[in-house]
Amino acid sequence: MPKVILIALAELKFILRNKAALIAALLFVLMNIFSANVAWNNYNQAQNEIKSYQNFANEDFANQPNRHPHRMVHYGHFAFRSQNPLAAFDRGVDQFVGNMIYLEGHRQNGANFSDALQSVNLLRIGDFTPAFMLQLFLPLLLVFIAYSCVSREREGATLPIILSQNIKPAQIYWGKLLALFAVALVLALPSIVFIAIITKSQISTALILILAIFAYCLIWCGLIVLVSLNSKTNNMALSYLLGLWVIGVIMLPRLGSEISGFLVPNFSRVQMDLETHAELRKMGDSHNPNDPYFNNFKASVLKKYNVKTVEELPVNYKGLLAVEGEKMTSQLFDKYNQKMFNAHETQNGIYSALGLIDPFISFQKLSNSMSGTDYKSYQSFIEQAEKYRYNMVQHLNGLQANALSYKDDTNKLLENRISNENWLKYPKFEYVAQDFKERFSRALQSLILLLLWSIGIIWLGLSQSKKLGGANV
Amino acid sequence: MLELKQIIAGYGQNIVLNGLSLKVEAGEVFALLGGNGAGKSTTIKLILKQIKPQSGKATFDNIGIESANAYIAYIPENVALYGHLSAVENIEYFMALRGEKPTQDSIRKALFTAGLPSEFIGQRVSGFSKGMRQKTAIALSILQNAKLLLLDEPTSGLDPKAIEDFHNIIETMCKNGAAILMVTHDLLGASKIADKIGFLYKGKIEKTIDRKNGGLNLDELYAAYNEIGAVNA
Repeated sequence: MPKVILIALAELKFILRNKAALIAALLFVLMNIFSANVAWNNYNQAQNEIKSYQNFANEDFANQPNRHPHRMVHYGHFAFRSQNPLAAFDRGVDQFVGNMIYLEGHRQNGANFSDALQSVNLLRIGDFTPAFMLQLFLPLLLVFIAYSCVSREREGATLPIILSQNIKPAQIYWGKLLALFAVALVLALPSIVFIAIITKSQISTALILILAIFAYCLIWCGLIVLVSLNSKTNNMALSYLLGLWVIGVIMLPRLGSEISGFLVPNFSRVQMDLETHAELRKMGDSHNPNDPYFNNFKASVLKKYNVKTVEELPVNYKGLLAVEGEKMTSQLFDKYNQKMFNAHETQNGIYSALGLIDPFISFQKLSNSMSGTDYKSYQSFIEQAEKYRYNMVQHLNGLQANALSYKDDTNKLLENRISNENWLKYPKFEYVAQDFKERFSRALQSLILLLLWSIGIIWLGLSQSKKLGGANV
Repeated sequence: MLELKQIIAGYGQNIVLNGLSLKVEAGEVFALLGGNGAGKSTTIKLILKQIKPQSGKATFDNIGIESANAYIAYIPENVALYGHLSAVENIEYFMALRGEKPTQDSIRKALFTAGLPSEFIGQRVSGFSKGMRQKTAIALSILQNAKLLLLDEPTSGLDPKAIEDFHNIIETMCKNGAAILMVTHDLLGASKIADKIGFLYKGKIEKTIDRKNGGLNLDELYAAYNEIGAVNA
């Protein structure tokens, strides 16, 4: 049997005979299974509710009676976002952002852009999901199980005996790493199986996630062996490793969030509302007969149709005004939303770059992206909902312009309703989740960083392992 | 035969062995005595290849020490074994690392020869006394057919009965042809089992007393020990 395997088996035997480690590992596996079960049930419940509410909203909108189209603009609609099944694995930012938007004319509703959305500030104790268990607790458990994997040999003086059996330090390193990696994979197995089950046809997504889990486990295993082989005593190894866990898993992500927030200040909802309304006031008021913008608009419409008064127009001028007003406000809202998206994207870029020094961040970002629960996935929902809202409102404004005459529309004694067929046949909102390519393009940087970390930590461990054997290397 | 010739070795700039030369023949016990810092443990480390000589030559049976691993067994002052394994499992593991797989019977026989009571053979060594650990290590060296046995302070902390058992085992191994190099502070123990005693001072053997040349008298040994200043080194 190869000596590396012998050393790995001996290390596994040590771990298996350590009752405390066994109980902790068993508890972790049980908690992992439990978390997967809870997350899957929550996901299914949420999906059923989303589906049911979307159907209800669709029917409610379609079943409105004959109405004036502008009343339908204000009656509004709802857009719901169905989630990727992997949201049960990693809820990402979904736990802080909504999955529903109320769509109405003249405004983009603010519930979707609350301060809670401040992208990278989303790192806090989150849902009890398999990803949460893997990202935070798996490294901690590995530290407790294996902090002494090499320092124990040094402290217990078995190291020179092993070396005197013609064993090379590199063989000790590989044996310890192999054993610990095997333990890590067993601990991660429930999550891996869970991913394989819930992704079904998303094989590529599952493979990338599983590859990232392998890399993350390897990085932590490599780090533990590296620290252990450089520590004179077991206590020192444990202290260093706990310190690294706190820095890597708690402090750096928090610090990264603060740094990105400091470098690129968040664009808050309140600030956006104030600035948008101030700019809207400057742009023009369609209800003001002396407003220069809308006077120019009116002149251009009359010129286009070659008439002198709005009453002579072949279309309803009030409808045209609604179309123009919606176009203006939407452009303004789009401008501010884009500003906010850009700020969040820059913040996320800064945060992701910290993955260079903290693999936890890379693993977290990759997991979020591949699970479709990162900020970009949410942004995609916002953009799709806004596109739907704008088209729906402009469709209704178009109906007002073409299906009702200006004369009737300005007669307050008339009801001016149009047939409910118009909303009955209007297409329903269907959220289209981002495909693999889009999600993978965002996860690629993190994946590369994780792989580089894996290679780097093994290279460092191997070179440091020479210290174990004095001149005998 | 172990032969060290004009060895200069140490740790970086700190030279510990300064022209050390010695010979240990097959079937002979060589006790290396010296005060703290004289270079006793460094000599062991050199033979175990944990440090590299800057100059000089170390051979065993005329082959370079670096190629003689298979013939060497090392028993440190505090025998290090894996506490979570039994004596048999410890031996199985160390032998497997050497690429050998002795039978259970041969392991038990070696443990019996080394003097480990049979009721302890299957027990985890975490509960073993120092003497029992040493016996396990000796059983390992028996199974390894070690031609060179390195002993570091072997009787330190052992009770009189355990010391006597140890001396008997060493005698048996010598009769079987093993060369034994023992580093120790124990003049009395050395006088009982050593064939030769070398007095190490500042990395060099200053005096060697051979049992064949008039025996090993304890007073003479103590006088030699004082003479080279090893006591206060």
